[in-house]
Amino acid sequence: MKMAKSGDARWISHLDLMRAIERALRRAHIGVAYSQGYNPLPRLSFASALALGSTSEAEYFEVDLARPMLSTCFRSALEKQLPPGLEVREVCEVPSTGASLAASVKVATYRVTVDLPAPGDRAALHRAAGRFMKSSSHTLSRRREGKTRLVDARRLVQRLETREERDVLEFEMDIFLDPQGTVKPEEVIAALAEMIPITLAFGAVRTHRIALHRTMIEKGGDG
Amino acid sequence: MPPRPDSVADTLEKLLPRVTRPARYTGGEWNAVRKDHRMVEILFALAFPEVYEIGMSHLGSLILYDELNRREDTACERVYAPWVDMEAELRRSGLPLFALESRRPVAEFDILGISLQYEMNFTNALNLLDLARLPLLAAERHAGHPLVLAGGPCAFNPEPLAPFLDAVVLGEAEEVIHEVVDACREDKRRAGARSRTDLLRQLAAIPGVYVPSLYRVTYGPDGKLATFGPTGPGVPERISRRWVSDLDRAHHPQRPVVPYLETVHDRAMVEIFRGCTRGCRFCQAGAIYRPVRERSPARVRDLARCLIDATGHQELSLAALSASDYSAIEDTVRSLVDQEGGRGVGVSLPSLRADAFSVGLAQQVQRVRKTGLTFAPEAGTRRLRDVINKGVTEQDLREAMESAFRNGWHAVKLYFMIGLPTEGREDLDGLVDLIREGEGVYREVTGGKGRQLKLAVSISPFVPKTHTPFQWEPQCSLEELEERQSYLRRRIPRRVRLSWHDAHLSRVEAVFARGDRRLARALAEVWAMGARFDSWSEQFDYRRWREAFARTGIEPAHYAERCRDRDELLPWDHLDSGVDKSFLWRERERAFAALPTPDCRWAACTGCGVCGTRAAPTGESWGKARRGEDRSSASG
Repeated sequence: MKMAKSGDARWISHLDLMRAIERALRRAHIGVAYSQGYNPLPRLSFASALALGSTSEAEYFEVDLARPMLSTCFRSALEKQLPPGLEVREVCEVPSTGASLAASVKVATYRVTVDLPAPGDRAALHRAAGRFMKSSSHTLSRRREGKTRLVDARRLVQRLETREERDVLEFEMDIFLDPQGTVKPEEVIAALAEMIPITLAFGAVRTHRIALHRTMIEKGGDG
Repeated sequence: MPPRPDSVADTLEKLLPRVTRPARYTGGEWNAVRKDHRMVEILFALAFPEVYEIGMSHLGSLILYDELNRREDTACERVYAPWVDMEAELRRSGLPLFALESRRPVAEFDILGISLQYEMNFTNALNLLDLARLPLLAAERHAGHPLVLAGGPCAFNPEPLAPFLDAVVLGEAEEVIHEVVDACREDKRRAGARSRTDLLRQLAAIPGVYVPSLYRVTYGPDGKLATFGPTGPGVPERISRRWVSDLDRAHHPQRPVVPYLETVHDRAMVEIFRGCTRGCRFCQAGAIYRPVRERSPARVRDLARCLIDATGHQELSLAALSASDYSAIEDTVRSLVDQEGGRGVGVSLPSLRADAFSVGLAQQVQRVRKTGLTFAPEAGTRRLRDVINKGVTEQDLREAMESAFRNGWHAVKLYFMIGLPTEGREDLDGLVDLIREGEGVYREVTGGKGRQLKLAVSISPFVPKTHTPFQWEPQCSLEELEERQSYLRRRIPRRVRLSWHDAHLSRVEAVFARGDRRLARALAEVWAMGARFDSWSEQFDYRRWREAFARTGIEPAHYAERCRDRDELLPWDHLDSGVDKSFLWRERERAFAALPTPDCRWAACTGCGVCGTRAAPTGESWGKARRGEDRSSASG
């Protein structure tokens, strides 16, 4: 199923979203298959976790059903039970033998809107984006649990385009979802800001996921 | 001018990325009730002075939310204590405390109802008033401010909060809350001409409503309460607790709010009965929720189905003070597991007695999902358990653990208290013996093969509570409590996972549990010094409390460590739980003689006084006879 996440629903974390979907399925009386064992869990898998605070029109998940069901029936039953901010976009039946959804998704496309601290920063950020894409690598260091890890952000950003709106700057980027580790769109923007350097306010960067792609980018990508 | 809801929303947008778990503050959950404020007369902010995940787990608040929102004239919205990071953001940005549903500032509501579950939330209650930009003192608020109402178990001694509260509801609020809202609505319709004092006088006339400002208190030279009484005519001398007589006729929420965040009790709850007459002498809940009133099994099953349909929860909890005491518990659990198991829903029993019967029940509920087992023997020896009237024998416990281990459990949690009246070294030794016995039983059952036993033991200092037979008793001194903790720490095997309830925190709790109005200044002082979330040991800072007591001239030992005389006027004597003070004293004497008092469900009436005030409760006729035969051995 393909779903959109908007409004206050963007403050639902990935784990909480999985639980919210599980509950919606139960409210909709959709017979879900459960895992075996100590603590049976519904067979529900998401393509890619979305960062807390981001909106999306391309959240995908698969669910194993205990009883077969028409996708149109599934859709109308579930739609009525989804909390505000979550919306069904597409439902289709897939064979249950395929590889996991998470493993098959390779690239994510994001639209990132940045509130500018000063009007002059627009051109500077625009130029920074150009320099970033021309460089051969751009290493970010990330600290987690006391350890520092280095990530080449440039390698993971396959496309970065800018579009100017009234008092904001809009970016569109394709990011490679490398199973070894990927980069968040906000980290890319922070890296650009650091190149200038300017400081962006908290909440100045808003991320919206537009699409997920199963293959490396061919322009226009599939769903 | 206070900010409008949409400007609250705009500012909130900027704050949310900066705080942990923003979903605590967004509202908009499934089943949340959002009403058009232009279509109602009364806006009721229902506040819980704890963090969202705890507040959302409280069944009583869900019941009131449902009761109030069923009124066409009222919109009830939720408020929780913002965590310290959010408080900092609210204060920095100048955003006032708002209700989750509409994001409207709390100060614009007609009533702010605060649930008082625990003394250590008192600082949060003050903080809610301040974050809402309301004057802390009731005397400084006027008709344009929300009426500040409190309820919950701490309403049975709200004296330390007396100057901050307009009115207090004593007992079960689901009926009396409507009378309070009606009075507020009439008051609002008359508008202009009337003052806050007029409304308060009117509220004081409602049975079960206590208006602290209408009573005068004097203290003697010995620091004890000297007199307590109403300031004028029409104000009752004593306030009687309210309770509903028939649980089947009482409403139960059928569409409770489903949180996104994982809450403490993240499950659908059906209240199967209210009250407990086991009569544990330390337990306040066992006194203030009497008598026992059961919901019929048919109604429980209907509610279970409704709740899962409306929430989609994967777990159904049968809520009660002691779930295994429900008359039809076996049949009910079996039929619920049959009814709900098919859609992946498990049943859980939050409160089990330490006997084999209860383990049998736990076995039933494990058919879908396996959880841990928790027992609360409370004390280490039979003698001390007789003192506190916790009728669990060594044999009960042994059988319970044996049965649990035979049925595949390998994780068990035991709860104990230390510092109980008459406790001596041999009782502490007995506690250690019980733990070793548990390990021994596990070795016997498993023959030393298979998984290692995971035994967790939690030990809390005893805090004497009002309206219990121990309300006159001193709490152990801090030094003595710490001494007993270290005595146990040296003797309990290291492989046991031990958790201790902070003795300093229990000490402050004991001061406020039996406090009087003079404590209000210390409370305001400690709040001003930054005390918040004092029930969280990482937020609690004893030095701050000690300093606040010193600055306001409060001697904590006077409240915590003093043994009261039989005829001492107690600060909560005017609040009538329905249980007679003479019964409590009789129970105190039986405690010191180590005489157990059996449960009146299976033995003779104990004469506690609750049923005398009204006809005996209904709704249990289908259970009583049967359980008299099979379960009498479980009591005593």
